[in-house]
Amino acid sequence: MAELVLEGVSKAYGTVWAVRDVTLAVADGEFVTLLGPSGCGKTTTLRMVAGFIRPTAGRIVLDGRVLSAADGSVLLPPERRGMGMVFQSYAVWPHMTVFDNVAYPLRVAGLPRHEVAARTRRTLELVHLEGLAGQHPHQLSGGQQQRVALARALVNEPAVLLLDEPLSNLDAKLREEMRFEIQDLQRRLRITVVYVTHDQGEAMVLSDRIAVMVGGRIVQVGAPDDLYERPADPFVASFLGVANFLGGDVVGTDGGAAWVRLDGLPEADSLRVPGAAPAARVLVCVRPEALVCDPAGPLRGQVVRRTYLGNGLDYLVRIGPHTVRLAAGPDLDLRVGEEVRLAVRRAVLYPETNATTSSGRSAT
Amino acid sequence: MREAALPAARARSPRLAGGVLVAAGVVLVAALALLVVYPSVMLVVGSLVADGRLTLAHYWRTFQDRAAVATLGNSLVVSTAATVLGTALGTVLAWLVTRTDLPGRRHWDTLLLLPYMIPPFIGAIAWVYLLGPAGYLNQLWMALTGSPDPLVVIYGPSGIVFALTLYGYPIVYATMRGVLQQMNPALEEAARIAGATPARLLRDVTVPLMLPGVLAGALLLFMSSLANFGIPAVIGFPARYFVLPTRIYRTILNFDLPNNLQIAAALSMWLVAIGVVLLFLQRRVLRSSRFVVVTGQATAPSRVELGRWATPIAAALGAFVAIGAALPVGAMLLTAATRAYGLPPVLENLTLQHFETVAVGIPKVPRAVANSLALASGAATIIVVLALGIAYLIARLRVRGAHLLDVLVTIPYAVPGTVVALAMILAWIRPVLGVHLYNTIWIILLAYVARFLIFGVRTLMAGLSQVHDSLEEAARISGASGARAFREITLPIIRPSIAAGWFLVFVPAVTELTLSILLFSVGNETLGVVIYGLHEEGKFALAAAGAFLVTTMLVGIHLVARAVSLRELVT
Repeated sequence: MAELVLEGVSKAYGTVWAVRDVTLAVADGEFVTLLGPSGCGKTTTLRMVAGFIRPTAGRIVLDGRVLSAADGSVLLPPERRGMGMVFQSYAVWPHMTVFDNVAYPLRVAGLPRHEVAARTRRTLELVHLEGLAGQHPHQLSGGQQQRVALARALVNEPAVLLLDEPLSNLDAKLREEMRFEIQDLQRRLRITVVYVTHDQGEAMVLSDRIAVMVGGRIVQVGAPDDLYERPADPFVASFLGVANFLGGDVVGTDGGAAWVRLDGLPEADSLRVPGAAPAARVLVCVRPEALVCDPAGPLRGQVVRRTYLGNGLDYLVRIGPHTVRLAAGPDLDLRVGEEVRLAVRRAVLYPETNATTSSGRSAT
Repeated sequence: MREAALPAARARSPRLAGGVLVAAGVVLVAALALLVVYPSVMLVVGSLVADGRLTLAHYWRTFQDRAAVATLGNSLVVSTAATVLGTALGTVLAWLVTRTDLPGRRHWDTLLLLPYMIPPFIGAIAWVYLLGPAGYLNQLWMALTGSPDPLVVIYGPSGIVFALTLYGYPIVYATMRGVLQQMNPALEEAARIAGATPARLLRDVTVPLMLPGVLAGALLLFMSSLANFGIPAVIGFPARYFVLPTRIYRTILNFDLPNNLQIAAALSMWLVAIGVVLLFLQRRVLRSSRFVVVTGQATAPSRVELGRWATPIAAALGAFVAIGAALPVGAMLLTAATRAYGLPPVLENLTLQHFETVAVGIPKVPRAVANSLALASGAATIIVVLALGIAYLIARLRVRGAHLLDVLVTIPYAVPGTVVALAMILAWIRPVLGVHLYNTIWIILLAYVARFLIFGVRTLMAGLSQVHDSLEEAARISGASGARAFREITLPIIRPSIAAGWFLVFVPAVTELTLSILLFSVGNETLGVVIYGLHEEGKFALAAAGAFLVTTMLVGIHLVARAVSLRELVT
């Protein structure tokens, strides 16, 4: 059992709020990712959970036990939180062998020698390092050091595992491999995980739920598909994957859907978007793969760029004053200059504000 | 043909036009031959030749000389003691400043490096004013307790160890501060999260990771203590306590002793041998790659909370800074401002007379100031030019054999200054190819350049290594010639390193004593020689006035250097 709760957790450095009023409950065995651009406060939040940073406000509670409280009444030191942590720089101790690195938490806990040896060996097997126990870190590759760090964080079966951008120093192929491995380990050990990353792909693959952070606050929490399909605002939409934003006016409603006339296009070509209209002026957010070629589609455009991606094609299509990206399978072969008609399968509406018009339009 | 020529051209990767390169290389090699190789050879030859024949007689003689062997023992004892104390002190202080929540850390950092600004022999002179038989602290003690005997008299081995520690610990402090700042804090946090208490973390992770740095710093401190001349001269001579550098000095000046220079050369070879062994050890320590600390993204290190210990520790540091810097400087000022040394410091005994006498009353003083400023700025300028060439050859062009240059540059600094001075004497005591350098100011300049060259080379190599090859290559591909790319791209980028290298040479050179005291002649005195001379003659008040003025000047230079380097970084 390990349920981790953050209640209104904040951290201020002088007058600057690094983290502001973060409330989040991580269920037992759940994998939650803090996702956001650099400087959004995600690492600070994680380090408050670990006990390296004292929160300015709020409480951190594990299974009903208060770990940190802002009034200073409680600040359990990191060594008494029973957590495991993987650091971005791995932080594998260079003066100890692989075995000693991994065995360290058990030795500190005062376990008998034979048990230390057995459990360390078992954990090394778990991360496929059984042959390297006697090596020193400088003899290992980056990926192997990463596994040592992971084994060390797991060896004493922590209640909560914290991972701070653990894959960002690995190359692309290794990163993908480790992703699945971390996922597999988490499911097998049924461990509660808080994961920090700025890589939305990583977050999507790994997480049960993702908390998107901007400017020290959580702007949306939800399952990956939830966040991808129903982003709370244009920022979340553009941070998770690619999004096309099209400005327009709501010209009518019918049966729980809104008709939107896109700027610069005739009213006859209006889009029907399911859901209530949030305002008269709106931004229509459409994912590249939610656009399809359809001879009966309402949007008339012209292909201006074609990019071959191997497993598919990426088109840039001009529709009146708008430019959209269209993700197509390998079978849709269009030429540059070709006229196409497009239909919208899924879309989300946002009220258009100054902020959204300036930041949300750069879909290309 | 073209295909065949390509790989060779790549391997060499020439960046400067060939002719210029060759000419520059020849000049550098000639300079190093003159500065290092020739004097070194003359030193070795000197130790091995008697009456025109090869012989081990000088060595034999030094081995049989009980006093000389005892001196070797003194050197080792005093240096070891100072190294142990200074290393402990420097390491603890560096840890306090970098890894704890000690209040006012940044100010402590500046204050703790203050003793380094005071030249050791001046520091030693100041401590004579405090703990000499009639020193202020002893006077105070006798007045307070009514005791007829002074509390402690600084003369002798304990005093030497005390002064060596006090003026040497900044070497370890600076090394350890760098090590601790570069150590990835996540290494320590990983131990905390693994369940280690702060004390356990210190034992299992921090201390083992610091160890190579501590060893490297300790070796540097040992070598510098072993080589120090000023402190054992000021504090050792009155107690007739000798260490190797002071014994060599006495031997060189002992004109009644036949073959005195050759015997001194044989004694010097002992110091050289110790130096070689230590350098070898140092390389071994630094090369043990097991201790490579993987640094990650710079996160602020977590600091140990001192809690209720913060105030007592800050108070102890304050007392320490007072002992290292404030007390000696105060003693200099007081001695200089008192009519005669030993008089109680009451108002009617105060005078500015000594400052006036030092400034205008003794003609050799202003002359020495001019000499020292000219020598120091001349040496700094020559060194920066030579170092730029050497660093470029080693770090940039990676010319085969260039590392030999690095070794040559290291020798005159790894070897004690007294030995460098003796090598220069042996090299130039007779005119070479009609050139007279002995008893001129030029031999001092030559010695300074040889001795301090390493500061310039190291600084510029560090600077150059931060300029990636591709920056110059981008200029080349844009159409600039090799020389132009160097002038317009590399040179402006490394300008702060050039300024830093210049100051790193200028500051120790302007108060240099060890080389000058053996190489000066009438008319060519340096500041260090004059102040030391006044002290030796017992003119304490005048020496104090000079020492105080020099210390003030050094602080001023440091402030200027800091301002300049800051501005260099901004532009």
